[in-house]
Amino acid sequence: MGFAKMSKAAGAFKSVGAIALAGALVAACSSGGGSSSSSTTSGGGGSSTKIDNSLALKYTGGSAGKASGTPINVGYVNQESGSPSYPENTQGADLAVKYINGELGGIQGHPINLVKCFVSTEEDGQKCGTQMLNDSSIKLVVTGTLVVGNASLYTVLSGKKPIIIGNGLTATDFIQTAAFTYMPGAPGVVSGLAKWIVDGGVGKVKNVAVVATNDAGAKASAQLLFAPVLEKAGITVKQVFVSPTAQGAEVQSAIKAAGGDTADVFVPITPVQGCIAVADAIKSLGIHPKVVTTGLCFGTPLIQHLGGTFPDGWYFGAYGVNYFVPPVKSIPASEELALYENVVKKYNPNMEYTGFAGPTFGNFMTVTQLMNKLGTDASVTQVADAVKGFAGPQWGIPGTPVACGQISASFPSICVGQMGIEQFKGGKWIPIADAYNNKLINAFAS
Amino acid sequence: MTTSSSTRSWATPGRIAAIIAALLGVVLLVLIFTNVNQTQALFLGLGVGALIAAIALSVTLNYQGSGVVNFAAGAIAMYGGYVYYGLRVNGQLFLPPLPNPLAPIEGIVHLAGNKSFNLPNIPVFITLAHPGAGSSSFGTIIRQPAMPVWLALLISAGVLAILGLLFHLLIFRPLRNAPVLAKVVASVGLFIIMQAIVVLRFTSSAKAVTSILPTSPTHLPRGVTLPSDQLYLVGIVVLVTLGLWALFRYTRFGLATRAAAENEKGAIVLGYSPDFLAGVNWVASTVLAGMFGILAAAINQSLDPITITLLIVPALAASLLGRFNSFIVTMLAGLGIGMLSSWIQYLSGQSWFPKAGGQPIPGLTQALPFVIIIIVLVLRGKSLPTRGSVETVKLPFAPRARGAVPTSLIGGVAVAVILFVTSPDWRLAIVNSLVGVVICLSLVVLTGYVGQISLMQMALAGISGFTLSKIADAHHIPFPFGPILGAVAAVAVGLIAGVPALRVRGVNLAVVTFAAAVTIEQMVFANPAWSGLKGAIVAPPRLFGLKFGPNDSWSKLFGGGEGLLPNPWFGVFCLVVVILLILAVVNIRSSRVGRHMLAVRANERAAAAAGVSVSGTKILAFGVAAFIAGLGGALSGYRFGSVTADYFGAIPSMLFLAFAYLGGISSVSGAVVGGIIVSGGILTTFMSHVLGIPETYTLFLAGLGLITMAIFNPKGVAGALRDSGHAIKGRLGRGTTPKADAEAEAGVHAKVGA
Repeated sequence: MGFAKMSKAAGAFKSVGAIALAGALVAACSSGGGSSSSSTTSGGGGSSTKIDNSLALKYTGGSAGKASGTPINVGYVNQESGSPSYPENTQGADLAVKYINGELGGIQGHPINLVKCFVSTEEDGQKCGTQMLNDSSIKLVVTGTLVVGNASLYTVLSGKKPIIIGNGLTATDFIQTAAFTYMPGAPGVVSGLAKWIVDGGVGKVKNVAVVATNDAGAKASAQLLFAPVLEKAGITVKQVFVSPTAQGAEVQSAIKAAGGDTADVFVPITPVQGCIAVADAIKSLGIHPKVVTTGLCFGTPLIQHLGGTFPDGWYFGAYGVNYFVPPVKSIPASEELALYENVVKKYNPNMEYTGFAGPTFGNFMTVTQLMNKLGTDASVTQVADAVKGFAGPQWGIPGTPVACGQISASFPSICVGQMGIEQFKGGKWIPIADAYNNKLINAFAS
Repeated sequence: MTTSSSTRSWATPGRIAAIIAALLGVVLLVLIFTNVNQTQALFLGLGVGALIAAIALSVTLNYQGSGVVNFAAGAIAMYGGYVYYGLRVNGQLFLPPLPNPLAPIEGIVHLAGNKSFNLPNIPVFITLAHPGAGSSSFGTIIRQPAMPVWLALLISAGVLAILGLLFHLLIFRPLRNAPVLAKVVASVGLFIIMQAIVVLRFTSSAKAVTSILPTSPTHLPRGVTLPSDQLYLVGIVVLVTLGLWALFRYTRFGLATRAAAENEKGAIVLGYSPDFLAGVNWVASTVLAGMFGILAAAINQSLDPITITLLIVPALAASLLGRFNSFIVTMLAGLGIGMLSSWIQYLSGQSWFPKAGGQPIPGLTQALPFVIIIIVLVLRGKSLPTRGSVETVKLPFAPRARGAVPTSLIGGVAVAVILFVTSPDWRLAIVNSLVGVVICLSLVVLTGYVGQISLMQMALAGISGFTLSKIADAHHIPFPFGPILGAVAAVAVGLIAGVPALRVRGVNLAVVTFAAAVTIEQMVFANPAWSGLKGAIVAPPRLFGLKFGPNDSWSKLFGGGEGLLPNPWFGVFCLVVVILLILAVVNIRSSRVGRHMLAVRANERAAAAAGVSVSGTKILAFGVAAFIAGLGGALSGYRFGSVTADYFGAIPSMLFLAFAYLGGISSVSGAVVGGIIVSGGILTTFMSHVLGIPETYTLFLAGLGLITMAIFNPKGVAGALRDSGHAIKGRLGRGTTPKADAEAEAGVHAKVGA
C-alpha cells in the first residue's frame, strides 16, 4: 500500500489558516511525484550481486572504488509526469550514476551529481534550457527522450552548452548541429531496414505496406527515410498513418488499408503500444504477414502482453545487439549490455530495463569516459569539442565509426550509422544482420 | 432559453435515423457489389464506432438528466478502464489525492525544524487482493491477475456508481441553474482531474489489459473477416441502446426525465424532483461510460490516459446528430462515424487519394465529426435543442475598467523593472504569463463580452504561429510584418469558424469550436505541407538591428556584463503588446461596439429589437478575438523559437478557456489573472519554487480550482477580488457595490442603441 508524503513547503502553505483545507489537500498532493527540478548524488548500496567491473573501468578510464569529494554537476533533461512520458530514461540515468559513483570512482574520484529537469510542456523545454544554460557548474547536458519541449531546449542551448541526445524520436532531434547522439536512432534503424529489404533480406519484395503513427518522428522516418529508399529500387510502398492514440480497431483497419495482409512485407513504425495493437490485430484478423519492425517494439509491455514471449517470426531492427541474446566475448557491446543487466539486478531489480533505460545508462558511461579524459576543470568549449569529437565506441552500441556530423547530411546530429536486425522465431532470437554475425548494416551508406 | 418546439424543423430524430440508415445501406450495397476491400474497411470501423456510440450515449443520458454536455465522458470511460485494471491486475483500488487533516500539524513541525516528524498518511491504494505467483520470461516477470474478471467488473461498477453520484452531488447539482459556460467549465475541470489522477497513480505509460471478449477472427460473407470482439461490442451497444430507448419511452422514470428535460418547472408541478432524476441519470451515465471504457480497454488490450478520453470528440458529434435526446440516432451516428472513418482511412492508402507533402492529406478521419456537425447545423440550425431549466443565471458581470491607462502604465513599469531584476526562472514565468494574458484577452472579447463559447482559441493562435514560421522562413518577411500577417491569417480562419455561431449558441457552439480545433490540429498543423517534416522554426524578432529574442544575449543595464537568459527585452516586448491589447479591449468594452456585444450576450432578440446587428456583432467579435489570439500565437512562436502542433491543439484550447474562466472571463483583469495561472506561468512557478508542490499535481489542482470556481464564484478570481474591494469600500462608505455593478449592467441594455 502506498502512502502520501508531506512536505515542509506544504506545511508553510497550510499555516495560513484561511486556506487550511486547501493546504491540507496540497500537502496530500506533495506525495509520490518527484519535483520537476531536483539534485541527487548517489553512491554505492544495493544487493549482493557481484559485478566484474573490469570492462566498465576500462571503458570509463576510472579507478575502482567509491567516489567522494566535490560533486561534478551534469545536466539531465527528460520528459516525465505528462503524457507521454519516458521515466525509464531517468531510471537508466540514476542507475548509471549510482553505479559509477559507487564502483567506478565517479569522474576522477568526484561523484557525478545529476541536475535534473523534467519536461511535460513546451514551456518546460525552455525553462530547462534556461536553467541548464544559466548554471555555470553545468558543462554538459544529457537528454533522455523528449517529444515536446525539445525544440525549445535546443534553441536555448544551441552552441552555448554541449548536449548529448539520449533517445531521440522526432526529426527535431536529428537536425541539430550542436547536439549529438551516439546511437543510430530512429533514422538509422529505419533507413537500415529499408536498405536491408532492398538488398533482399526478406527475399524478393515487390510491395511493402507501412502503418506508421501520425507523429513527427514516425512520419519523418516513414516518409523521408523508408519509402524513398524502397521506391528508388522499384518497390511499391503503401503508407497509412494512424493517430498516436490509435486503438485496436483503428489499427486493424489501417493494416487492411495499407494492404498489410497481402503485401510482401508489412512494416509497422510505432511505439510499443502500437506494436501491441498490431500484434493483436494480426491475430484477430487471422492474417499472416511478414512483419519487419523496429526495436521500439520489443519492450517489456509487449513481453507482458504476450505472456512472456514475442510475436513469432517478426524481424526487429535495432542497434545491433540485443538484451535477450547471451553475450559474446568478441563483441564488447554485447558484454556491456550484459554488465548493464547485472547492474540492474544489483541496484534496481524491479526497473524496466528494456526500452530507453539501457541506452541512457550507456550515455552516462560515455560521459564519464569523456570527463575522465578532460578532467574536472575542463571548460564548456573543451567539453563541447570532446562531445563532438568522440570517436567511440559508445557503450552498448556495436556500430562504428562514431563520427559526429559526418554520418548523414540530412541528420547531422547522428554520430553512428550502423544498425542490426534480429528475428524472433520458435521462441529464440536469431541474428539476421547484426553484431553477432558481423553483418551490421550501414544505414546511411549510399 | 426555451426548447425548440416552436421552431421544430423537418429534421426529426426519426427522419435523421432513416436518412443515416439509408445512406449507410446504399453505401454498403454499392461497396459489397463492387469492392470487397472497401466493404471490409467499412466493417472494420464497427469496433471504434461502437465505442464512439457508447460514449455518445453517456453524453446524451447526461444531457437528458441534468442539462450538462459532459466533455469529461471520455475521461470517465478511461477512468473506468483504470479502476478495472487496478483491481484485475494488482487487486488494488486507487484513490484520488485526498486532503489530510494531519498534514498542517506535520508541516508546522517541519517548519519548526523537526524534519523527521511524521504522522500517518492517507492511503493511495486500497489492496483487496494480491496478484498470483509470477514466472520469469526474457527477464520479465509475468504475474497472474489478482482478481477474477467478474469481481473486478462488479467492484468497478460500484465505484463508478459512487463516482457518478458524487459528480452530481458535489459538482453539477450546485450548478443546476448556472450558465452553460459554468457547466462546460466544470466538465472541463472534471476532464482534467480524471486524467490527472490516472497519471498520478499509474503514470502515462500504456498498460497491457487482457481481453474480456473472444478475439478470434469471424468470417462473414464475401470474404470479410472481423475480430469477434468487435461484433460482441456492437451487440452490447445495440442492446444498451434499446434498453435506454425502452426505459425512456415506457417507464415512469424515463418519462419523468424527458419531461424534466423539456421543462423542469412542469416536471416539478407533476411531482417529479429534477434533482433526483439528474442524480440517477448521472449514476447511470457514469456507469455506462465507465463500463464501456473497460470494454474498450479490453478490446484495445491496452490502456493509456489519452486514447479513450479523446473519443469524446466524435462522440459529441454523434450526440449532436441525435439532438442530445435520441438514443437510437446517437447509436447509429456513432457506428456510422466509426465506419466512415475506417473507410476514409482505407481510401487514404489508395494512389489517387489527395496528398500533401507526399503523404495522404492527414486528419481527414478526425475531421469527419466536424464535417458532420457543420452539415447538421446547416440542416437544423436553430432547431437544435437547448434544455429547459427553472432558472438560468447570466454570465458574470463585465465591468467597465476605470483608470485603465494609468493602471496599465504603472503596472507595466513595475513588471518591466521586475523583468530586469528577477531571476531567470521568474522572468520566464512572467513571459509565459504575458503570452497567456493575450490568449485570455481573446476569450474575454469573445466569451466574456459576447457570450460565444470558443474552444478553438489556441488553434487560431497556432494558425498565426505557423503562418509566421512559414512566411518568415520562406519569404523572409521581417518583424513586425510577420506576426501581423500571422494574426490576419488567424482572423481569416476565425471568421470562417464564426459562421456557425450565427446559427447556434451556448454549448452547441462549444462543441462546434472544439471539433474545429481538432480538425485544424490534425489537418493543418500536422500536415507536412504546412508544418514541414522537420518542424516549424520561428526566427527571433529583429527591428532596426535590435535583437530582442528570448535567447539573444543582452547587457545588464547596471554593472555591465552579459545578463542571464531569457533576454528581459523580450519580456518588455511582450509586455508592450499586452498593454496595448488591454487598452484596446478596455476601449472596446467602453465603446458602442462593447455595449452591442453585451446586449447580444444578454439577449439576442432584445438586442436585435434595439437595432443591434447580432450577426455583425458576433462576426466582429470572432474577428477581433482571432486577431488577439493570433498575436498570442506569434508571441509564443518567438518565445520557443518554433511552433508545434501539440502546443496549439484542441486540448490546450480547452485548458485556456478554463484558465480564462478561472481568472474571470468577463473582465480584462480576469484575463490578467488567467495569464498568471497558465502552465509555466507565475502561479505554477510560485507553487513549485515557493510552496514546493510538485508540478505533477498542478493539473489536478487546476481542475479542482476550475470546479470550485465554477460552483462558488463564477466571476473568477478577478471578480472575487473586485467584489471584496467593493465590499471594503462599501463599509467605508464610498465606492460602488456589487449591487451597483449589476444595476450598471442593466443600464447597458438601456443604452444599447445610444
